[in-house]
Amino acid sequence: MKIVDGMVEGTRGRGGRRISWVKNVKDSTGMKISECCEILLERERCICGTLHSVDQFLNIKLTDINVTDPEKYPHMLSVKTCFIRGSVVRYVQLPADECDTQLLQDATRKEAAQNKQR
Amino acid sequence: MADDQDQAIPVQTVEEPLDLVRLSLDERIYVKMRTDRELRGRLHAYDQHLNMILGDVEETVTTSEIDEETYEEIFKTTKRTIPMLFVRGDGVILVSPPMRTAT
Amino acid sequence: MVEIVTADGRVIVGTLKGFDQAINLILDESHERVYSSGQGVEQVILGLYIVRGDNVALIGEVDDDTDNGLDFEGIRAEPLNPIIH
Repeated sequence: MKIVDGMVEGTRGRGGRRISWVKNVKDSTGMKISECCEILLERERCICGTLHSVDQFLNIKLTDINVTDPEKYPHMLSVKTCFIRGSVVRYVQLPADECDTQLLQDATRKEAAQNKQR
Repeated sequence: MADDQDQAIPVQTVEEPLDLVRLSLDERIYVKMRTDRELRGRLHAYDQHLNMILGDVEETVTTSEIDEETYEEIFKTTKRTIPMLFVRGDGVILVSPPMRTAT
Repeated sequence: MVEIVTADGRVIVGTLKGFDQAINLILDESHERVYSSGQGVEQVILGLYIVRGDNVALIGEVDDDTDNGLDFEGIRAEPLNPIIH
């Protein structure tokens, strides 16, 4: 029931590093922000939409959204653009063919090395 | 790559838990998640929160029901595959490096 | 007009008058849409509400034309489940 809000409380001071990783993710997945991605909320509900932006708490803004099962979930029929609080997201399904996995791995190694030095 | 020496040391050694995760990059790992979920997939990226990006993921969800007559717990597993998945770190319980025994 | 979905699965529609960093919201002329499988959507008038950010799962921008065209009496749906962590 409770949102465990680790993100907002826990990372404020370290926001800088976080942004960079998210940026890497955005760069390398080429979410030129027109690709469809799927946000699975922690309630077994799927929303499909175009990823518009992500902030350091992983709050997400989606445009042109579609609910994958409107029969079961008519609750958002009139919503086309939405903001999702990062803390309620479990997964984001990404477009696999647009992910440069080599770039992701390199970026991760680089950041791991940077975090060591601090 | 100005200081190759500095770079070389952390690559070889495991000093902290996340080093083990780093060594699992580009390998298939097992992730145990909260709410009875398990993931198997290739690790492409992670950060200090254990937010991760996994490729070719198989998700296993285990649900339990109580049989109305015998009151026995019945476990059901559902599987699905996802080509590329971002996983939020706060749901992660454990990350296990690749199983060397399997092929 | 926005539609918010709370962590416990309620759907509240209202005019977004303000918000802050923690996603605390001020909703004016708000009402809750209570979904149930047995009857149509019940609309409960709430008025001016301040919603604490922790309880917000999603904020959606409502397209007024689409919204006015919906037949809420005829919609039957299970209420949304709460968020499980």
